[in-house]
Amino acid sequence: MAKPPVEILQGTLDMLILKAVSLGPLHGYGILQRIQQISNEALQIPQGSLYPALYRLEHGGFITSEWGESENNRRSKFYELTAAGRKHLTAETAYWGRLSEAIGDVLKARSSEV
Amino acid sequence: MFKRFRPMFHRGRFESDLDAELRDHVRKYTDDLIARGVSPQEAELRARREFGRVTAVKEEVRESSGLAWADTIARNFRYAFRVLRKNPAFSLTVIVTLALCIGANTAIFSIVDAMLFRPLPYPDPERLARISVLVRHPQGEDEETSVDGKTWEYLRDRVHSLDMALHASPGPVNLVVSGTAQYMQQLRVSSGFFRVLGVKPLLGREIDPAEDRPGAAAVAVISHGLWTHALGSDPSIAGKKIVLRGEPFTVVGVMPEGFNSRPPADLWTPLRPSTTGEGGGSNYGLLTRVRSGYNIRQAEAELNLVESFPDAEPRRQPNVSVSLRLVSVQRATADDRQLPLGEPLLLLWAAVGLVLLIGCVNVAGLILARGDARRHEIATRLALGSGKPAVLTQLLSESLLLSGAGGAAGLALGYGALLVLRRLAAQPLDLTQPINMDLRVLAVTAATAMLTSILSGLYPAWYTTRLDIRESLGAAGRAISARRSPWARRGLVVSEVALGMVLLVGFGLVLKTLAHLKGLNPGYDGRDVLTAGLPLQDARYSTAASINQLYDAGLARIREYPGVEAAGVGLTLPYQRALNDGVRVIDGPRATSQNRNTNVTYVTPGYFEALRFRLIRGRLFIGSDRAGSQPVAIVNEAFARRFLKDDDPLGRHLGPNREIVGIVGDVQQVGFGDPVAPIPNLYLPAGQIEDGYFQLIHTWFAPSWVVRASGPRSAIGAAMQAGVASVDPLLPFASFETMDEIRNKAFGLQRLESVLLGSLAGLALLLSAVGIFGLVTQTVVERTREFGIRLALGASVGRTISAAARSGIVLSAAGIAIGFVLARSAGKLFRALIYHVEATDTMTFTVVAITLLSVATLASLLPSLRIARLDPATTLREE
Repeated sequence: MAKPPVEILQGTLDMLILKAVSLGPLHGYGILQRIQQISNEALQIPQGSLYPALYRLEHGGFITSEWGESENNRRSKFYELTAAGRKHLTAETAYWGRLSEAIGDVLKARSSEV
Repeated sequence: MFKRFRPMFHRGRFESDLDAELRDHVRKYTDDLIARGVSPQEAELRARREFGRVTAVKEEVRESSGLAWADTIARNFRYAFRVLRKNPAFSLTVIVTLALCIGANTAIFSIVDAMLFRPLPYPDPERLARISVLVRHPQGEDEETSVDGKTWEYLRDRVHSLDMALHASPGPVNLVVSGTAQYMQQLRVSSGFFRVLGVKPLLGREIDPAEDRPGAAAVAVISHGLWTHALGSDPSIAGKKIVLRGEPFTVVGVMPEGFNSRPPADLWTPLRPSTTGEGGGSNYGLLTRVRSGYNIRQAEAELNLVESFPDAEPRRQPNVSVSLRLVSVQRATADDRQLPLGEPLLLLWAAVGLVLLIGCVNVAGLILARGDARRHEIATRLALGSGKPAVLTQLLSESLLLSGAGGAAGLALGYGALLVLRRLAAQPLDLTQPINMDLRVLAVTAATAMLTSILSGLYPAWYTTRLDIRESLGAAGRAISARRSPWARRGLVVSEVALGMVLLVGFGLVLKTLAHLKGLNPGYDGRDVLTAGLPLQDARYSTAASINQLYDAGLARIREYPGVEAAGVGLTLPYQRALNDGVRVIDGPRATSQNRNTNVTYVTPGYFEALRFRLIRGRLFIGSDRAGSQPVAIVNEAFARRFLKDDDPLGRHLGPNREIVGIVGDVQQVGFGDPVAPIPNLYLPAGQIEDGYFQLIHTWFAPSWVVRASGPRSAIGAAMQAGVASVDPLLPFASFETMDEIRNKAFGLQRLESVLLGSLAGLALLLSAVGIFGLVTQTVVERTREFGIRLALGASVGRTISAAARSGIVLSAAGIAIGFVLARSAGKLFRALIYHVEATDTMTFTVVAITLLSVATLASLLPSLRIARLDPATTLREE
């Protein structure tokens, strides 16, 4: 069942976008859907905030875009992960893992361990 | 990688794509909502609401795509463009000044560079040298740059530090390819010539020592151009035969693209050096390369050691000392042109450098003056809360825009100037390398000029940020008289005018020289005379009989054409380099035992008539002056003056038994350091030249056919070609030129100099005018209040105007005085450029001084005239 929605942390949107497009080319709306779907609707991303992040990632060379055809014969812009983006995603994932583990450890600590 | 910067260059595309993408998103969301059961109207509204403000999203997207700063810059430049367009006089002046400085300097330096500095296009060019033989005898010194066969053999076998090769002078030949003959330059070289130059053939090999002996097989190395244009780039050309001067030659090698020898040629054949005939005289150019392990000084020392042996060549005469010098090929090439080139060119360059400097300071002065006027505006902007960086960026944008426009215009101007100069300079400077725009110089001049404008453009920002805003706002423009006297700018105006004076005087003198040269009587009549060279270095024309048959029959046919008044053939024409030979008078009081050098020209009957030489006394050549009849000669007045002095030349004999039968007037000849010196000339009838002499001189010269005829040039040319073709259809004329064209070419250096000096002088004049104009404008602007008060107190408009203009005129007068003195003392330098005109020519000095003073007065009066439009009341009420 759906968990209550949470705000995403500053700076994590980029990582989520990279993860979403790492599974295959997607257009902007598709990325939004994919993230919400994987997180079981827990992560709510303000629609407008997606695009600055997408363009920033493209300017940084982590993703590339190409116009193509989506459902209903509409012209849509599809994003795809680049090699640099894949490297970046791996590094970010590892970093995020270490960070959440460390934070989790701190939060789980009992008085006897301090 | 470049994709990242694409948005900046395809801005329109970026925007429409972004728009389409965002709209696509909203529609997809709307569709989804409808699919989930929301009504269409409701769905659309919700989608739009949840997406947020599209313009804000777009702005954020632009920022994250790195376009925000590009937008700011674009805005700044748009504003700068508007500001500059509102002051067209100022903007244009700065741009034109920058353009002239950058363009003129680059173009002129490119020529200097091509002449003097650019390394020769061979590996290690500094190790290439020519041997120059310095002969000191009691009468003085002689310097020979060519050697004879004995000297060659002597040096070749003894000097270890030098790798040596020989070459002759280039000569014209006919190459026959698939039935048509083409005119080519042939250079005969010894084996090893290309090794010494350091360039390997592209195909095949160079001339082998075995092929460089008398009687060896005829071979040739050809240029890349000949190979591609005439032989269809045949890759297996090596070993094939080409027909050259009527004989088959085996091609042994093709030189790489862009290669040429010095002197340049289309093909190279074996020289076959000997110690007799051609090798009996100093007819060989000796090219050397200092071998690795030695330097040029050591090689020169070895040369002179070898030269001190008692059996040394060239053979010693009593009281004569010989020393050898190694002259770097770069210098030798400039010397070969026999022109005092180095000095005038460097002089020009120095002048250009000064003009550049003055232009820069001028630009700085203009921008500074304008900056002063804008202090009020800038202070206002700062007071209104504009940040200092914003003001600075704005001023920088303006300067960048100005200097960018100036730089672009300078580049265009420089390129245009170079195109003109290239055409003017190619012939007089005998350029073998094309003159290209020197990018280093372009970079340096452009950087200097543009940096000046940028730095001076930033000055007001620097100035105002140090200034108290309130004080600046309160005081700007309130001063009644000039705040400070711009001494630097005054000094600048004086030096500008002085330099302009020097350059204008130089230009005037060169112009006068040119006019004088053109006005001189050339000694012949060149109107309606068409000439063409016909190379005869051809196996079929190795005998005097065959050559004279061609001349007689060909000329007879040409004379039959309507309109042809006279036709003849001569070895060389006036102004052309002539054959030199030794000759002596054998009877009468001026008989000598020693040969003296003179120009020698063989001519057929009709040559003197076609060119209308003046017959002073005696007779011209006639058809019966043939082999077997009494040998005869005609001399010119200079010959008679030099070799016979007061004796009557008619009836005298030259060795061994040649009777002088006529005296003709001198014609203009190009001599060393003087383009129209009368030079002794001996004329021989073509009918009395011997086989061997014909063969020898035809390797050096292509005889010229001269036809005096009325009618269109093309028809006469066709008649000449048809006349020759009636005797031999395989002989092509090299090129048709009228006598006037040849004469114009002879004055090419003077014309080039006058154009260069003229442009520089004009530039200096313009810059002076701009400088004066700027100074007076500034004065008028600064003292508007003062002038207003003067007018209000009853001063007449005329007097007020002259008060404003006076400073410009006084400063110019000072500049003219200083320039006068400078130009007088620079007379020695000008002397290298002028002939038959005094370097202190009063008329030139006067005209130049008056011109300068008029321009200065005009430049001072124009900005002062605005005083006439002043309304004293408004002026006083203002501010």
